[in-house]
Amino acid sequence: MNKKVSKKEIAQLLQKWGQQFNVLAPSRASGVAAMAEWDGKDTSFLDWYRNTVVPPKARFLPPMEEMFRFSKDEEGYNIEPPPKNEQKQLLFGIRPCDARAMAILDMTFEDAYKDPYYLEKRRNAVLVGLGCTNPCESCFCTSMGTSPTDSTNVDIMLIDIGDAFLVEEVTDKGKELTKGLKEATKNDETEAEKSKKTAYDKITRKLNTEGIKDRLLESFDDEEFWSRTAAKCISCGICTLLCPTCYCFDINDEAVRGEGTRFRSWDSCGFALYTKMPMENPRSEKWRRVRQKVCHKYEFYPMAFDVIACTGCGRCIRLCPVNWDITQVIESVPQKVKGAK
Amino acid sequence: MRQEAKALLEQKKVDWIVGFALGSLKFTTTPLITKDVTDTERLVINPFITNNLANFLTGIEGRVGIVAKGCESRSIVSLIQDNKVTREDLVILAVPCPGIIDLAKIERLVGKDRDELEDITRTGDKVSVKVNGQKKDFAASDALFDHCLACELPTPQEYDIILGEERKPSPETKISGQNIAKLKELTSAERWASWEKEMSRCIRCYTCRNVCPACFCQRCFVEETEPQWTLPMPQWQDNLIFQIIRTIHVAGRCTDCGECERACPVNIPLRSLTREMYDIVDELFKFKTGMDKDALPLMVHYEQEEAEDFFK
Repeated sequence: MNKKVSKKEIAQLLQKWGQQFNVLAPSRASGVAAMAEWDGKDTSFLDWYRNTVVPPKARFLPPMEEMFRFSKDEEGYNIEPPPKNEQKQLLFGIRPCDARAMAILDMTFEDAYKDPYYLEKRRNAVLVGLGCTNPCESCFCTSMGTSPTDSTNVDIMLIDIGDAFLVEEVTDKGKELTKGLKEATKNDETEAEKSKKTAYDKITRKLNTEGIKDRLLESFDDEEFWSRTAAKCISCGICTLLCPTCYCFDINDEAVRGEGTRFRSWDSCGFALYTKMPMENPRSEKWRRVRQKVCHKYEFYPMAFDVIACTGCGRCIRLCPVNWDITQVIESVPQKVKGAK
Repeated sequence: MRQEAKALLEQKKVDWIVGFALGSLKFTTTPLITKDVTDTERLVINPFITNNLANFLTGIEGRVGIVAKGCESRSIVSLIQDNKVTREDLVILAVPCPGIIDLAKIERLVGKDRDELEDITRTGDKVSVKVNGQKKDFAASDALFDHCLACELPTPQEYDIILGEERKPSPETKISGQNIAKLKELTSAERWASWEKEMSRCIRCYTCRNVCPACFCQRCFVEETEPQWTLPMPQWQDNLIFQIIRTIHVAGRCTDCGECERACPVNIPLRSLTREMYDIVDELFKFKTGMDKDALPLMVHYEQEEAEDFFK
């Protein structure tokens, strides 16, 4: 049975959850829209929020984080892990595209290997989804296996029904959160269905990904295509660092006189430095880096996990300083004739 | 412009055309870098041609026909001075530029996201925005990029073909310098705190560097590991050091095209650094980047009257 909460009661609800969780909500306080500690009262984001610029992955894979501290004495190195992060996070307002991105990240950080830093935060987190009513022009989630109101990857899902939200309980964790909320009426359910359909229809950007894995495989050595595709790319890190499914990181030590800290921080395959080795760089040319980025999402990830590592959030299109558009690129990948070279 | 560009390619006067085409989102354009004659049909000039196309010149081999606004032409001249490109390899198609519309300002003026606007048009001193069927007019000085409001060279000085009538420099330097003026009113402790906040959200995407035609180093100092000038992690102190060094490195090459600030995904007011540097260069050395292709670059030129006190 679905529940319901009026928009006026959201602050109260967040305060209640705040007793148990560190509540995060969309915020522009830092100067850019991101999921940040809720201030305990302001719910104005319900009016302006479409999606954050910084994806919610930043709460699980922060731009930089401490891995451990080390010190050296006569016996050798001493390793000191960082203090345990017991904090329970509640992300209020995560969009379905970004929630799906978290499920995609789990495949790397949980299924492929156990990443303790990520999982510590992820296991302690609750995702409260907020269905979109006003998606962006750059959004193409409906082509990427999700939708503006998809509840698959969240614990509870809120659907806008005017003055209130319909609350869908998705997981057991979610059910705990909705205790005490009113039950939704038949009319609320009807309104929610309408709201979902309206939002769905607002996604006008479509991408046909049928056969993309094979097309990319066949076009891997098509230098002419990749060079043309990469021509206007400036090799900045926006489309990767701010991608909700990109997870590459760099590792660095900050050390003074045998004592220091090992950090990891976001890295990007768009950077030439990413693959630089003492003797050579297999991706020193821009087209090879652009190819890597596209293929990782649309070819290699499907090969490894049977899912495209793109959820159609559109950040890379909207934020790109040269309007390099992944949907145009994917559509332009040549269809090679079978057997032809 | 399309005909000129087409003719240049057909007559083999250039190998490449670099210009603007319509972007895939409303009110956007995208750099068009092509050898293909048919692509010239897609060339556009409109109030949203934000990029500084000079940025692409160092990465292209061969002769290039390039569409250039005033700021781009200055970057091109600066690249010629620095021997990064050769004048003979370029055909410059000059666009007298009335200023570019700043979508972030429009969003603030209208209180709506760019996606929700139906149309934005520029006529003379007015910028009109159509939203929910209603037309709202704004002064161009409220709607253009800050750097455009202080534009000293809307019409390129150095060009081969000119597309349109010459334009006069923009007089709105006061509005353009508002952010810097505000920063100057702060005490140094307040200013430090302000930059701490701004730099705290930097994610080191290096977009500011990569959109900048003046940032043409083969290897940027941030990528050096011996010595390591800054840490590659995005902590605000290192982010600030990166920006300060970048600002100093582009002194005498920065044309105040504003791309660093426009392209920053996390809204860091980078132009407050670069424009201040631009003004300092002008004040100390009477040097304005990219105005004279025969001038020596700022950093290789020395006049005795410039001498610092400690030289005497």
